[in-house]
Amino acid sequence: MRSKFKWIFTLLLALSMQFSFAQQDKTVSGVVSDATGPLPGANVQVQGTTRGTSTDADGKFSIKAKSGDVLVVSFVGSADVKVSVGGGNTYNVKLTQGTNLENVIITALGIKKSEKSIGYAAQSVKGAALTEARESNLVNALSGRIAGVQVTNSSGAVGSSSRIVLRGNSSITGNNQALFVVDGIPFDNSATGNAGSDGGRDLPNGVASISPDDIESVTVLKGPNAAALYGLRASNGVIIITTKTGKKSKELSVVSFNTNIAFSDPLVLPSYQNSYGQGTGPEYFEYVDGAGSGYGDGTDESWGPALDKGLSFVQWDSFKYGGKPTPYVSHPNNVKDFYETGISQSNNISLSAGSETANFRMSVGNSNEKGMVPFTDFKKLNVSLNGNLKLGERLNSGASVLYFNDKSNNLPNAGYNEGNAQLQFIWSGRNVNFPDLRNWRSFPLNPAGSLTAGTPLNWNNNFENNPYWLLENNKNTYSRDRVTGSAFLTYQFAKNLTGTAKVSLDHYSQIATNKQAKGTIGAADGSYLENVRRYSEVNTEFILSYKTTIAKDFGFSLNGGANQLRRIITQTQGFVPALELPNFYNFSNLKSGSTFAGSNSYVEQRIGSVFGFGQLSYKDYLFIDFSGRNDWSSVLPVKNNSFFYPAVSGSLVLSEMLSIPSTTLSLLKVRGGWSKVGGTGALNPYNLNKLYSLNNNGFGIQATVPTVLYNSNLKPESVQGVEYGLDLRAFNNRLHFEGTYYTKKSSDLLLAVNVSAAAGYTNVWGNFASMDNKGVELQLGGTVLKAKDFAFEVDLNFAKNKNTVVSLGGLDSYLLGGQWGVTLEARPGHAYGDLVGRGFLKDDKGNVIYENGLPQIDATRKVLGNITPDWTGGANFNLRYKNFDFSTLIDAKVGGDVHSMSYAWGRYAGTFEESLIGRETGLVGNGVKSNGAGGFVKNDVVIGAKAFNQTAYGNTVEESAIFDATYVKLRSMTFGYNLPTKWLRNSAISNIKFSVVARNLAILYKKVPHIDPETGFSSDNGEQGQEFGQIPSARSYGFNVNVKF
Amino acid sequence: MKKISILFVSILSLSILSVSCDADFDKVNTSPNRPTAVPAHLLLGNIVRVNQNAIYGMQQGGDMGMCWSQQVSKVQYNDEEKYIPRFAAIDLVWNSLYATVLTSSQAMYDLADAEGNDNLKGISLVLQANAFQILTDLYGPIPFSEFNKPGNLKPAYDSQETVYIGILKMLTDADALLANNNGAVPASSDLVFKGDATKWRKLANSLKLKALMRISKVKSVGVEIQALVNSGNLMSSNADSAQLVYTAAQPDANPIYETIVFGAREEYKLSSVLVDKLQSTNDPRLAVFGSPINVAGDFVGNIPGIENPGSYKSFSAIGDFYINPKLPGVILSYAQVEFYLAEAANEGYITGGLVTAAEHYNSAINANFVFNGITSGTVAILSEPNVAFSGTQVDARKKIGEQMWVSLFGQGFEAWTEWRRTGYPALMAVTTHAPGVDTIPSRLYYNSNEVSFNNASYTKAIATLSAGDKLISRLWWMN
Repeated sequence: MRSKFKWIFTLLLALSMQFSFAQQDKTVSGVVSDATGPLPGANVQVQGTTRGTSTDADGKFSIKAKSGDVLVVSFVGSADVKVSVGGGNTYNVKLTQGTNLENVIITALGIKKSEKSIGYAAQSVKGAALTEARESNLVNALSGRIAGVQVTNSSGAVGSSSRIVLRGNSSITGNNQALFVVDGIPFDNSATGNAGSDGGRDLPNGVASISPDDIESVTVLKGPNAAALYGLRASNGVIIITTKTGKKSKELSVVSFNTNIAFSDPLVLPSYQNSYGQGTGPEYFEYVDGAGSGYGDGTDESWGPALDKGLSFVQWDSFKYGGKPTPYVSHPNNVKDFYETGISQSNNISLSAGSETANFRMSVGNSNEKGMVPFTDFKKLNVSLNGNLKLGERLNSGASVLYFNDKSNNLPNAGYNEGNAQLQFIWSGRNVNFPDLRNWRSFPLNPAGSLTAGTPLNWNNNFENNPYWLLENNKNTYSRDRVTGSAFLTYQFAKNLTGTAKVSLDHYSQIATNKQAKGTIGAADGSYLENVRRYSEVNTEFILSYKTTIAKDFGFSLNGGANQLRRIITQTQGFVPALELPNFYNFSNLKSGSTFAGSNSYVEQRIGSVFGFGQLSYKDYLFIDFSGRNDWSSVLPVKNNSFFYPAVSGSLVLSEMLSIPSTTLSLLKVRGGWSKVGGTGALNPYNLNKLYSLNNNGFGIQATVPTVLYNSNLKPESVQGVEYGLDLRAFNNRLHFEGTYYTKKSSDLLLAVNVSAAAGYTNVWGNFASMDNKGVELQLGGTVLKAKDFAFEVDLNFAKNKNTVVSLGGLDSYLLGGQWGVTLEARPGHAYGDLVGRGFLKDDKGNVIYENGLPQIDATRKVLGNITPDWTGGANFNLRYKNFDFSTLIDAKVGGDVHSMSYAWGRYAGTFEESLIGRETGLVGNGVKSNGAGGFVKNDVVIGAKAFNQTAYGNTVEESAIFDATYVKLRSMTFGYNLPTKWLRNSAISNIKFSVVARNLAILYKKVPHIDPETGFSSDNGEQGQEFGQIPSARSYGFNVNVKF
Repeated sequence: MKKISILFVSILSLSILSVSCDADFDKVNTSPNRPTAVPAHLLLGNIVRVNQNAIYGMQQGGDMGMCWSQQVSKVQYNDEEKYIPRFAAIDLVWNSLYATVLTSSQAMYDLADAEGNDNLKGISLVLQANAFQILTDLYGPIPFSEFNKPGNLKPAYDSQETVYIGILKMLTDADALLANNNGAVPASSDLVFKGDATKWRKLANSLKLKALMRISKVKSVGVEIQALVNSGNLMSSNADSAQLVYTAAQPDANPIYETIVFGAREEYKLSSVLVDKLQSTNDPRLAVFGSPINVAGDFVGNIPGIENPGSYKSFSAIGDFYINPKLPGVILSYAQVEFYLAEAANEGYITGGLVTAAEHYNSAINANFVFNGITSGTVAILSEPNVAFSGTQVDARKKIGEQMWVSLFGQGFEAWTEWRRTGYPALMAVTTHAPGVDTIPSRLYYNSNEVSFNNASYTKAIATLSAGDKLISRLWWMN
C-alpha cells in the first residue's frame, strides 16, 4: 500500500511538472515597498492562476508571467495593488498602508465577516503555522497560540488523545471540549479509547485525523456568544477549520508538495536510583524462578543488595552462563534504552484547477509513525476533494469529501496495568538491563503450572511478563475509515435574497481489538476483545439570507433557517475471556467452560432547529449582531424538549467614528455581547424511563436494576455568557492588542449526581448543578524590530479563568474519577477538579506527627489539591533575516495540581532516586513527635529508609504524591530557509522552503519530579490531573520541505 | 429558474416541518438495547451473584475478613492486615449490597407481587434480610427504614437494634410466604437451590437463628429460638446449606481463585495462628486449608502483620481445595446452624442442656469435615482433648467458639464477625498497625462517600458509635 502511494506521488509530481513546463513565460521581477521601505513577505500572484510568490527580505520578488497577465500584490493591512505585465521585466510596486483594512474572519456557519464588525472574541491561526513543526494530533498544534485555549495531550504514545477546553469547564460530566466544525460540517472529535488509571489504551480524538496540509485556517470562537448558531453542542466554544480550495488555473496542476520527517525521543523519564538492586533487603538476592522460589526474586522492588560493589548473584540472566552468578551492577540507562527512536514521516501533495465558473482541489497525504514504545505504530491516509461550480447566473453549487484512514497495528496500554511496560520500570529491579530482554525468543519458557506458563522468562514472573514479549504479542489494534462530506446549492432569488440548502455527513466505522496471549499476567488463558463502532451524523440545513440598506448609512441583514440533525451510533462488541488454542484470536476460539460476552447497542438522537440571525450596521463603525434559535431535542422528555435561546453582540469602531489617522491607530474597537445557549449536556438518549439490564454470564441470563435512577422530568440546561472586549491596531500595524473579559454561568446542568447507595441507587438524574466561569484573555503582539533585511515579531497571549462549581443540588460532592486512594471530585464552592485523599496527621503548626519514626496518617479524607490551572499563556517569537526565518513558541500552564502515583510507587518500591536517602544510615523524618505530655517535640527517631518510604508513600496516603503541575515548555522551534527566487527563475517551482523543526524541545520549568506535568490517562473529564506510568511525552526533531508551484 | 425556486421553497417547508414534528421523538428515545419489563425470577441470579462477589472478593472478605480473623496472613502488601484498609474495597461492599442486591431484591418483590408469586416474594425477603444483616454487622447503624424511598436522596441511619428488628420481621414474613409454596422458581434462575422453595424456607429460618444468636448477648432470644427448633424448619443436612457454586472460568469463578490465580497474587498464606491451632488438635483439615511447603509435608504459617516478601515459598499457601474456581461461596452452612444450636443449648436458650449441645456440636464438626471432603477422621478429632465436647458450660463455650472459627475458614467476613461476637479463639492485634487501632477492628469505616453525599445522616449516625467512624468502635451486639 505504502509503496504504491509513493509511486503515485512521483507520477503526479512528474506529470504536473510537465504541465508547467509547457507554458511559455518570462520572468518578471521587482521590489515591493511601502512608506517605511521595502516590504518582505508581501504576496505577488499572477491573477487567475495559482502562481504566486512572496517578496524576500529586500522586498524583491521574481515570478513567471506572460505579457498581458496581471500581477496582484498584497500585504496584510494594505489594499491590493494590481499591475499589468507589459513588455518590460521590472515592476516596482508601492503599497499604501491601513486605508483598506479588511481582515476577514470566518464565523459561525462559515459566514465571512470583517474583523471590525465582530462583537465577540474570535482568533485565527493560519494553516501554514501548523504544517512545518507538525503535530500528529492537530489539537496539540493549537497549544500556546491563542489566549484561553487549554490543550492537554495525554501522553507520548502514538495515537494518544488530546483535550481542548476553551474558557474553562462548564459541565460536570458532559463534554467540556470545544465543538469542531470542518468546512461547515460538525466534526465528531470524541475519543473512543478506554484508557483509564487501571489500564486500557487511549485512542486519538476525532480531529487528529485531519492533515494540517489541508488547512487554510483555524478560527477559534471562544464564547457561547459566537457559538449560539451551532446550537446546543456549541456552548463550549467552536473551532472552525476551513480547508483549502482550488485556485484558478487552466490545467489540473500541482499546487504544493510537502514532506516531513521527524525523530522523537522521551522528553522526561523518571530519575532512578542506581545503587541498589532487586530484592527485599540488602543482605542477599537469588533468582530461581522470578516468582519467590529464590530470595527476593518474587518481588518487584529494589530494596536489595548494593550494586557496583563487586557482588555477584544468580540473576535472571544467569541461564546464559550455566546458572552461574552474574555481576550485580547498575544499568543507569536501562529504561531510556528500552524506548526506541520514534520516527514520523508525512507527505502531502495537492492539486488544483479552476476557471471563472468552477474550481477543484484534490489532496492526498499520508503519515507513518513508529512509536517510541517498541512495536507500536500509527498510520494515516487522507484524501480531500472539493469543488465549486457556478451553474448559472444565480445558482452556485459545491461539494466536498474528506476521507481518512487511520490504522495501528499496536497501541500501547496506559495506566496501572501489566500491559503498560512502564509499570515494570517503576515496580522494578534496578539491576536489570531491560533491553537484554528483547531477545526473548532464545529464552527458556516459564514452566507449566506457573502463572506465566509458556511465556519467556522475565526478571520477575510474579507480577510482570517479559516486556518485549508482551508488546509483540498482546496487541491493541485499531482501524478507522471516516468520510465526511457535504453538498450545497445556493440560489439567488433576488438581488438581496439568497437561499442555501446543504446536506452534510460525518460517518466513520472503526474496529478495535485487544489481544492477550496465554500466560499474560492477569489473563492466564489469554483473551480477545473486538469492538466495532459505527458513527453517523447527518445534518440537513436550509438558510434564507436577506441583505439591504434600510436608509442612508443603515445596513441590515437577516437570515432564517432550519436544521435537522440525526446521529446514530451503533456498537458491537465481543469478548472471549479465555482462549482454547494459543495465539489464535477469533470468537470461535473460546475455551471450553468459558462464557462468551457479547453486547451490542444502537443509540439514536435527533435535534430539530429553526434559527434566525442578522446584523444591523450604522455607517462603517457600529454593528449589532443578533440571533435566536429554537431546538427540539429527542433526548429530553417530549413535554420539555423545546427550548429557545437568543444572543446579541455589538461592536463600535472608535477609530472610524472619530476618524483617527490610520497610521497611528488603524483600528480601535470596543465590543460586547450577551448570549444564552440551551443544551442537553451529559444527557444521552434513553435516560428518562426505567429499564432493566440483561447480562449473560457463566451462570446464564440474569437481569438487574441499573444503579442509575432515571428521571422523566428533566429539562434543558443553559449556559449564559457575557463578554466585553477591546481590539487595537496601531503604528502601521506594528502593534496589535486584543483583550476580552467574560463570564459564563451554567445552570440547571443535567447530571446523574452521586448519591448514597443507601438511597437505592448510586446515581440519580436531575437538573442539579450550576457552575460559573469568568476570566480574561489578552493577546499582545507586534513587530518589535524592523530593518532592511530584518524583522522581529513577538506575539504574547495570556488567559486566566476562574471556575467555581456553584451547586450540586444540595449535595456536597460529585466523583469524576480517581486512582488508588485519590478521587477527582467536583465540590461546591471550589474549582472543578478537587483532588481528595488522605493526608498526614499534623499538629496545630502544620508539622507532621511521627510515631516510632514513622509519619502518622489521618484517615479522614480531605481536599489535597485542585487540577484547575491559575493561568495559561504563550509566547511566539518570529525572526526573519533575508531568506532565513526562525520561530519559536513557548507555552505555559501555571498552577493546578497533579497526583503522581508513579512517584508514590517509585518511592515505595525503592526505585526512584529519592529512595536513596538514608538507605545505609536510616533517616529522621521532618516533623514532630509526642512529648508524652500532650505536646510535641521535634522528631528525632531514626527509621529505616524502606519502612519510611513504604509508610509515607504508596496507597495509604495521597498527600505525599500531590504536586504543583505548573510547566513552561519550549513547544516548538523552526528554522527555515527559502531558496532565493532567482535560483528558481527557470523552473516550474515558485518557492522551496527547507526547515529544521522541533517540537517539545524542553520543559523550561516544572515542579513535579519524574514526569511531564502535562498528563492524563485520556482526554476524558475524569482522567485529568492523575498520573501513573506515563508513557513519556515525545521530544521530536525533524526536517520539512515545502514546494510551491 | 422557477423550478429551482419551487425546489427551494419545498425544501425549506419540508425542513421546518420535519424540525417541529417532534411527535416521534418519544419513539426515537425508546431504548432498543434494554428491556422495560422482565419476569421477577430473572433478577434472582444476579442478586445472589453480586452479593457473594461483594463479600468474597479478596480485598474485602479476604484481606479484611480472613486476615483480621487471622486465618490467613499475607507475606507482602499487607496493609489491610495492619488495619489500613482500602476505601475502594469498603465502598464496594456497601454499594453492591445497597444499589444492586437490595434494590434488585425489592424490585423482584414488587414484580413477584404483581405476578402473584409468593415463593419469589419470600426469597426476596430472605435475600434482603441477609444483605441488611451483612451491612449492619460490618458497619453498625445503617440506613434501613429510609432505604430506597423515592425522592429521598439522603436516607437516615437506623440503630442496629432497629435494623435487627426489621431483619427478624422480614425473615418471619419470608417463612410465612414460603410456607404457601406458591409460584414457580425456575431452576435456571435459582443458583442456590435450583428452585426448591422448601430449602429457601429452611434458609429463612436458619438465617433467623443466625440473627437471633448474633444479638443473643444483648437481647433475650430463647423463646424465638426454641420456636424455630420446634418448627422443624431449620437446615438438617449439608444438602440444605445455602451456597453459590461458582463456575470454572473467568469472571464467574470463585473470587478467591479469581484473585490468587487469575490475578496472580500469591502473597496470601495460612496464618501461623491457624496452623498452630490445627496442629495442636491434629486436625486433618490443615491439609485441606493449606499446602505443605516441602515434600516432607511441613506446614508453616506466616505471623499476622509480619511481612516476609523475600521468600514466598517458605510459607504454606492456601490449599488446592480452596484455590478452586468452583469453590462454593457460602451464604449459610448447615454446620454453622448446628454450631448455633450447640451454643443455644449450652447457653440454655433452648432445652436439652449439654447433651443436646454435644450432639449439635459433633454434627457441626462432622458436617464441616464432609464439606472439606474429609470422609474419615471425625471420630479421631472428636476425641482430641482440645476438641472433645466435655466438661463445663464455660469449656464448651470456648470449644464451640473455636470450632466455629475453624469451620468458617474461607468465609472471611463471617469468620471475623463470629470472632467479634464470641471472642474465640483468643487473638492478639498485630504489633505494627495503623495509628489508633490497637485492637483487632470491630467494624469497617462507612462508605467513604457518605461524608460527602449523605453528610447530615452520617454525622448523626457516627455520634452514636463508641469511637465515631473508626475501626475500633464497638457494635451493639458485641457487648
